Amino acid sequence: MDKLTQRLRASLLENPAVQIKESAQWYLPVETFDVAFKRVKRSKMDILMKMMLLAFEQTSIRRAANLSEMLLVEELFIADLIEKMQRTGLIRLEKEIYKLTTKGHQQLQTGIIDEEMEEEWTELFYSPGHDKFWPAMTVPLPESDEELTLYRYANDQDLINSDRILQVLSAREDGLDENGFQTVVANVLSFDKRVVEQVPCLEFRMYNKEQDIFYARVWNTWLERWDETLENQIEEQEQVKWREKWTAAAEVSE
Amino acid sequence: MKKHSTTYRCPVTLTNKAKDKMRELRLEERSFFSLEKSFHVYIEKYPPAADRVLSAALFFDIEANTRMVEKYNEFVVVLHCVVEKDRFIATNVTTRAVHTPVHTNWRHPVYLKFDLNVQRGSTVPFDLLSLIHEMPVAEESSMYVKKRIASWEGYLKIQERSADIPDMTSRYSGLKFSGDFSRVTITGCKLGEKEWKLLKDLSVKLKGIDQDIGKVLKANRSALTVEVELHSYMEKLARQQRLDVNPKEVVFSNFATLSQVKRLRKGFKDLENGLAANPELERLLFENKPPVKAPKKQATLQFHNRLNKFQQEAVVGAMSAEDLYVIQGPPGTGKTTVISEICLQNAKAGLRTLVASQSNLAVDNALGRLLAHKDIRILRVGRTESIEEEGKKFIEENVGQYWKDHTLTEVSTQFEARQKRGSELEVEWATNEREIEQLQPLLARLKEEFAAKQKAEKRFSEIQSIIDEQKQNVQVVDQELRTAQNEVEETSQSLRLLNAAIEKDETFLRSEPDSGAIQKEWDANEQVIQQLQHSIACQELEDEIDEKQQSIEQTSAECEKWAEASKQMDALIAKVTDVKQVDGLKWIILEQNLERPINVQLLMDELKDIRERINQLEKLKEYHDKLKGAISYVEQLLEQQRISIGQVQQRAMKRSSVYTAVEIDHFLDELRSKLKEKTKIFPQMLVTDLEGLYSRRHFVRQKAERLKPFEAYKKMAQESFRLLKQEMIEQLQKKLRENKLSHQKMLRALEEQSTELHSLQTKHKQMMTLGEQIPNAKEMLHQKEAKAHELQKQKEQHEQVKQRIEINRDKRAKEAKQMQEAEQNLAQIEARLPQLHTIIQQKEEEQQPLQEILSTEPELEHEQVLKQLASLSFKRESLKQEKQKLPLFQSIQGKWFSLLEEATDHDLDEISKLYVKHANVIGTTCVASARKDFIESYPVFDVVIIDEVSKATPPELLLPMLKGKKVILVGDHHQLPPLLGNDTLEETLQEMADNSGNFEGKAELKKLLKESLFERLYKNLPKNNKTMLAIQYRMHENIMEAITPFYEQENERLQCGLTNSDSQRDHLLESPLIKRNNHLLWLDMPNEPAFFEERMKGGKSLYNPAELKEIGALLQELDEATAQVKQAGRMNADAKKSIGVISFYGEQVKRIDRLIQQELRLNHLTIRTGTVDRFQGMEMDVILLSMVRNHDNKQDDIGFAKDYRRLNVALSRAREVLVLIGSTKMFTERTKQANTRNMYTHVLEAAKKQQGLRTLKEVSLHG
Repeated sequence: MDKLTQRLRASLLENPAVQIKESAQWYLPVETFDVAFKRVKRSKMDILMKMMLLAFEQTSIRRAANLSEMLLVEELFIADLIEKMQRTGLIRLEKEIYKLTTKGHQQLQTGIIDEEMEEEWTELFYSPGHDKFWPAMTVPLPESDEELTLYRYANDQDLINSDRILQVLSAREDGLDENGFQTVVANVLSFDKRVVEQVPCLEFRMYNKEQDIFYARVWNTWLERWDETLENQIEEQEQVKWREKWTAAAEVSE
Repeated sequence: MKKHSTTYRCPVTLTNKAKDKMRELRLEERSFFSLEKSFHVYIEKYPPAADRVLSAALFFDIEANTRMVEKYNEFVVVLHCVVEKDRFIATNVTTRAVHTPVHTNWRHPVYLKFDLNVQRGSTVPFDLLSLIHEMPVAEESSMYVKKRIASWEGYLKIQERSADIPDMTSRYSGLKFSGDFSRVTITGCKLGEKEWKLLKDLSVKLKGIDQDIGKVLKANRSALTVEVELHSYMEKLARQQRLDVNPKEVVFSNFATLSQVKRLRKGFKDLENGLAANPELERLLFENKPPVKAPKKQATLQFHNRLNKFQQEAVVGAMSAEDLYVIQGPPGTGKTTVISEICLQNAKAGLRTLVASQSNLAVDNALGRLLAHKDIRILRVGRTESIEEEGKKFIEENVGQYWKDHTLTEVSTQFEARQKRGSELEVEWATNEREIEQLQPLLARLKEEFAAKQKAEKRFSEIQSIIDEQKQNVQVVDQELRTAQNEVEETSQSLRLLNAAIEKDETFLRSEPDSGAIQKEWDANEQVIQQLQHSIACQELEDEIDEKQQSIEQTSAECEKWAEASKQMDALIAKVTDVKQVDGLKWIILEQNLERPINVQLLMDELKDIRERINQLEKLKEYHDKLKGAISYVEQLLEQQRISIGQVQQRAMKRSSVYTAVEIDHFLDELRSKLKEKTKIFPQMLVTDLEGLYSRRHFVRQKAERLKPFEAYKKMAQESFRLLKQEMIEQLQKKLRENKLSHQKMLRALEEQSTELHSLQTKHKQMMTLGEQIPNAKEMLHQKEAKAHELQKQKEQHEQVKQRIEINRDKRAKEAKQMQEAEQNLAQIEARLPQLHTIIQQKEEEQQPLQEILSTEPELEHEQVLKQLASLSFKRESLKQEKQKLPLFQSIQGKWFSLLEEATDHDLDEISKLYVKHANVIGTTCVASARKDFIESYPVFDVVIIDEVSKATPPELLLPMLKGKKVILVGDHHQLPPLLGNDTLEETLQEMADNSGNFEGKAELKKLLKESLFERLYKNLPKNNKTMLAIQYRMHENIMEAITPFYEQENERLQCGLTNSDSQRDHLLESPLIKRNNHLLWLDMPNEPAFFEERMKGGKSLYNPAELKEIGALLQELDEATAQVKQAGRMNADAKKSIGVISFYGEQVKRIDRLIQQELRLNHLTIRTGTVDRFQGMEMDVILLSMVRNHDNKQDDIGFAKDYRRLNVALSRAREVLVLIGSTKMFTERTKQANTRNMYTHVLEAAKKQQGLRTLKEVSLHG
């Protein structure tokens, strides 16, 4: 931890115009969720084509325009896909009405049926202060000798619901498997806040003489970067106060 | 644009050179030309040369000629030909690289059917020949562009200043990031002396980092530091400290600028090579009067945005224009709305639109404001990292999501609406049925009534026809009655007249004597007349006898005269016969005044002539004698001298001279006197004289020879004289004969007259015995004859009267009878009339009840009810259909909705492929539109819309323009011109002038700066091709007032479109400085040293600390005022006032930034700062303008605050409040140019008028 602090200080002070007025260490709470979810296997056929096959099956469609009106989709898209489906033998015109061929029926069958997969589990990390899910840590958090205090602007709002988790999982887990099937996260079975991780952060209150500006630098050890969200939160609350404090101090010391 | 191409037969022969070339290229001549039935070929015309009038190159299309391409696809074949009347002669064959465009505007596409068997008498088709004739010469067209575009060179020159800088690599010691990671200072750079100077604006790359990290802002040679502005996408890496990489090596490169300049250059070249999508582009750009095509017809459009009249005019104009349309949009006038509407209209018309602008921000702004509509598919093309938030959703990787979001809302809205519709449908269906039922009985009743009415109508019209008939009868009878009455009247009148006439005639007959007495009187009178006529005849006979006697006397006198004349003539003949001499004869002729007939005259002339010749002969003889004397004298003298004269004589004979008598006399006189005077005579002289004498004698002799001898003349004269006498005697004898004849005639006449006289006398005697003579007979005869006439007349009149009486009596009898008949007729007619009237009355009474039925109108009502029923059943039908369709739609859309909701990335990928394929509004920056990949995906657009045109340089504008068949330019030349980097063009130009003194194209560039391309086009285009949007919706009208003078030169005044500025632009604030009704304020800074501007250390830019202080105070005041407004509940607690703090100077802006970030806590405001130039296109509730300039230096002025366009932009950013912070004295009085002073004075006056002027005293009192 001290080593890290030293390194950061050094890099900050590379600029001779800046001073570190104060520094601090505290922890940021990061919640770990255990999530159970299920994925399904789905054919590669995209939804518009699937929808069109369904429509051809259910009703009489003579022109792309009919379908365009129903699905509220650009006629050109429909016309394109109709042409493609005719070409690949999924549909044909019978008495001026589009009908599914046997192949078309087959494809539709496989298209609409999702093959359920085994239940799966994973961990998600959420920072309420950022309202963001973070990736898993790559290096272990540094050990600290002293007891760290909680970040002073930490909030405990509960914004997590299964929809958000589904979104995060979809972005992470959806994909194509080796057989050309889509694997899609279908639903979140359960999510439980397991532990709250204490993520140490190093705060530096900076002054640039040349430009006469005060600013904050916060190193986030989980993300391994200067964290602008935290910096902004601190600056917004304290920046003006710092000026008052240190300008007054400077005057006194003079 | 595909031109229509025709197929022509083309006889062609190849020269040996061409054949060699073909062989070299491994093109087999015969088989090559037979690869296609007809080749698609682009013809390019060459300039005419001395030896060839018409020559051209044929470029073989590499796409259309499929069979040719199968065999030869490594290059484009070009056939260079001389065009003759009978054939093309290919003189050379060359190739072009496959990727060079074959189709250019300078070439003309045709299909040619090559014919290698050129025979005698074959010809090149006339149409093909004339096509080539009329084509422009490609080289000339290119030259045209080259010449014109030279005036734009300057822009490229500016950008190329540093183009040839090679990459510079340096080691460095460290990176120092600014507080917000927007900048980095690279320390310890090791660069060459020269290199330090070239660093500005170069892009910066660190070894080990893929992308550029940013651009050089400042290089500090002495500190060995380079300040770099980081690209925003670098912030993350910087915060992760991932920019600290080893080895520490930095590369400064000019690649970005270079590639940009390259693209701009290529734009020039493309235009030069005729590669513009609109073949007229160069002329539209460069001609003083752009040759725009007149719109074929004004489009009639249905608008999807709410547009004012100017916006509508702009959209209709832009849609109707064929090639170019220009829209001038002052601040806040809804340019983007117009662009949005045009894009949608284009999309509906199936056209593809490019929306381009100089900056990414403007492109994203324009796209972000387009309506979300399923017909419009927007795609943003460009480097993702430079695209703003508003444009991000349209980049390729996001359009799937955008499409899904949009479709999902559409589907769910419809789905929900239809769900509601289901129950509504039922209600409507029931209502409909009820209504139909209710109408049925009414319909039945009306039907009955209608039938009854129809019946009544029929009956009524039947009766009416009878009435009409009877009425007609009455008319006829009336007519008859009138005729009968007239007849009776007329007959009685005529009877009265007849009676009167008869009465009169009878009276006459009674009063006059009867015809017998008249006859008697007439007979007596006739007798007297006969006597009188006899007496007159006797008288006349006597007169005749007298006359005859007188005539006899005259005739005998004549007789005697003729006898005398004959006697005289006899005597004359005798006299003539005796005459012996001509003169005597002449005398007689004169004396007797005889006629001289033509032969007499001839004879006399002949005699005269003969006499003359005799005279001449005598004269010649006389001269001959004289000369002879002289000759013999001289001969004698010469003989004494013993000089032979033979030769002299011969010589003289040879001379042929002509002499007159006078000359000979003179010659002789001279000789004579010579001989007399001179004692000594020189023989030589004498010889000459003798020769003269001989010659003269010879002449005299010759002349005499020509005449006849004397005797002959004498005989001729005698003969003529005899003939003359004879002639005259004959003439006289003829006269004598005539005289005798006349005499005899007279004698005969005398005899006749005597006989007549005798017979007259006998007759007279007889008459005298018959009756006595009455004197005055003639006069009396007249009287008697008149009397006889009178009597005759009386007799005739008497007869006539008698006859007339007879006739009239007959007539009277007849008419009396007629009268009786007429009276009877009249009586009959009069009796018929009342009968008829009775019938009519009866019938009319019958009509009365029918009329009542007819006055009702059941048919109208009936029709209405039928109509109602029809619309009800129509509605029922549509409801039925809707009812039928509804579940289907619901089920399909329900399914669709759920499918969409769980759409995966894979689904959206597929959709985005379709979307990109059919994208019809594509947005990118001007320069990016010339990127290679973009050109390949989108070579041509139907319409190119360029926004913020005035901010782009012409070379930049050219790039998107090249791609548009139609170009629409949107801008405002009263706002700021292009920026180059962070500098204005003027500044850059100044800098270049300072550095290099002069450079090519500087003059042109200055001209362009004065009047931009946009401005020139806007001014010179015809009315149909431009519009100014003259209604602004941004500013409170009081703020707008500050900028109206800038638009006074335009056709339309700038107007405020806000219906109520005070309520729609109510800033709600109430502070010491800003009252609720203040919208335009000027905070006056004293023109004193304490408030003066300052110059930044080591830089050019200016700042003003005093103004900075005031701005700080003012922002605080605004923040507090906003808090109060929130407290009073006039504003939402979460809302913030948007405030822009702007300045003419960058350094001031930097200091304002620092002030706001470091020293102020403003919880109720969102603040953006920037230079005026950067703020163009933006708007804020409140704008504070820090004017900076304030000094008392007589040499100095107010810098680029002079430019009215900059002031216009500065003044037109605020919606609700605009506060100027600066010295009024500096800007309205100390400024050098009068028009600049006026410009600022107008603003000051406007502020004063609105009680908006604040002096610093006031400010500090409150503050």
